Amino acid sequence: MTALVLAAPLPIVLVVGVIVVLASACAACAAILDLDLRWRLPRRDRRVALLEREKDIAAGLGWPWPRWVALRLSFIGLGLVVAWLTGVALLWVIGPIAGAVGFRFALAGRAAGRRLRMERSFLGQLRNLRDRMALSNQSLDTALQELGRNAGPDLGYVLAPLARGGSTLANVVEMGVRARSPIVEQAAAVLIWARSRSSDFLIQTIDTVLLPVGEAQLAIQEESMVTLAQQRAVTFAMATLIGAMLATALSIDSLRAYYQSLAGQVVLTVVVLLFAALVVLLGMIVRPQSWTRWNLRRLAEEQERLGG
Amino acid sequence: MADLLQVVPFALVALLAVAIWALGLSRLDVFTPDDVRAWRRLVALRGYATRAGRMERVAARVPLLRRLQEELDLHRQLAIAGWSETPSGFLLRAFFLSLLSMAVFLSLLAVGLIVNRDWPLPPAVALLVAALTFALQVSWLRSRARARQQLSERALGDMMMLVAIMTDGRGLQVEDAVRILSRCVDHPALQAIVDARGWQRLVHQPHHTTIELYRRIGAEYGIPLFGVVADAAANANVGMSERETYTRVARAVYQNRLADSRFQAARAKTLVTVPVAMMLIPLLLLIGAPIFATISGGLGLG
Repeated sequence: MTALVLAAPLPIVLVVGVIVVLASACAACAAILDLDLRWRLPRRDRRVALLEREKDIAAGLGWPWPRWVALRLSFIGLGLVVAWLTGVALLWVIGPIAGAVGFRFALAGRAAGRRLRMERSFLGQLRNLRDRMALSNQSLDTALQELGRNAGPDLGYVLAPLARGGSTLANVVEMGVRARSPIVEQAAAVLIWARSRSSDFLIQTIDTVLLPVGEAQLAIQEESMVTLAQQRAVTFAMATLIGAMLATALSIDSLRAYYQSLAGQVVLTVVVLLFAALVVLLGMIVRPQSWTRWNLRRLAEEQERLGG
Repeated sequence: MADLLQVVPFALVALLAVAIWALGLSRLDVFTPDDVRAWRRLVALRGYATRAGRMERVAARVPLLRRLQEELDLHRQLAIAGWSETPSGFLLRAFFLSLLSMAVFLSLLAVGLIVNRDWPLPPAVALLVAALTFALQVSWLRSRARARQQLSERALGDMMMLVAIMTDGRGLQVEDAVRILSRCVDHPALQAIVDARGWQRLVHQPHHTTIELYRRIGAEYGIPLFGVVADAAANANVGMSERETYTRVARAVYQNRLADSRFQAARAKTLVTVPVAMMLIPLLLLIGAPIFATISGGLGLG
């Protein structure tokens, strides 16, 4: 500070001095008043939401969580390997990011498609449930157990808890939690609230509430899927084209030398930023419907609190 | 030394300004802990509300501040966004952050001044930065309020199927069913309105029935679905089956969403051409930049 005072003329010292005092005082006030300048959503919630989205995709693909994490880490590593092989410094940053984001993006469509197939099968199983109760006079618990045992390939993992006896309420909750699908979650919520009524009430509920509303929900999901497919097709085509162009350019010595220079790195950064901005823009134009997610455990607690 | 002495009055003025500012903030209870706020709310509900602080009353009387609060619709926006600050508190915090951003920007300019012996940008730009910071905070509040409105409306629509079961099968009132279900949604937007009388922040008029209350909540919080539920409740009150009534609302909600999805998909087919066409730019840049650099180098331009 003393050197600054000696080197700089008075107006500079004045401006800097006043600014430093202002800034320091502001910071002190913020500290004394315990002012929270961070994003209002608690950090833990943000982290959990991010993790939940990852788990949704893994569940949509029918993969165990550890496999999903291992594959994501592998693709990040692959990005680093590509950077090492090409010798382009910027790829040390872009490579892992592309590996992390690209892998998720590449499989998100497949996960959504698989989830839709599972939801369709689930509505079919609801019809089975209704028939078992209405025509075969089975109780809800028995009918659910039977469904769990003959779930079929798309629903094997989701309906597995129903087959294992014990508390029906806990099994239905577990089914909803495993599915990570709005349609299954809502159906599970309805079963939680309706299961202690008579069989006739349940059959009526499935006929007049669950099936028609479920069909309407499925139609929305299908429409969202079409929209999502459009977005993904365009992004894939452009990413492939850019990737192929970059690979071609880096395989030619003179062009690789250019991209290893500072000017080349700047161009590469601009290209990546432009591409990312356009993908974001595409996502904003084509946005699928989102759904309310239920905390089924809490719902079961509330139901039990009101007397099962 | 004499130079430094000349700085002292400026520094003292700055310190004084900041001290007054801090005093104002503390007197306005801007950063009062939530527990204290909860107690005060309880006191207000019991009819033992204490008078607003002197500073707050003064702030409420200043025409400029009052007009600004009205123009920005701060009271409503803060309630919908679920922020517990008062409008005056929000304004003061926004001013505080604007001032801070101006100070940071000015210090950056000062660094430029020291290095180049000239202002890199006119110092007046710092005022623009402060104005931008203020506008961003207001815009953030509005976007947060809009997001919470959408979340609440979506949650209310998604719970109609369950409301049908709970009212018909368990004999619960629609208000109780909505309140219980709002606690089981993965976000607190709707719960903040319907549970623990959260609606009292905006709905002050007396009401006798849930139907009246829901109509008022719908109007005040800008969530039209509350009005639809109120109409359904009115139908159920005159003898229609509750299950049928609320299931019909649920189906109407999903039909509207389906129509929205179809409209968006159709619109996207046209709009998507814009980013697709613009994707050619990075592609051309990738190929064109080294070629241009080579040609310009060959011509001795680079």
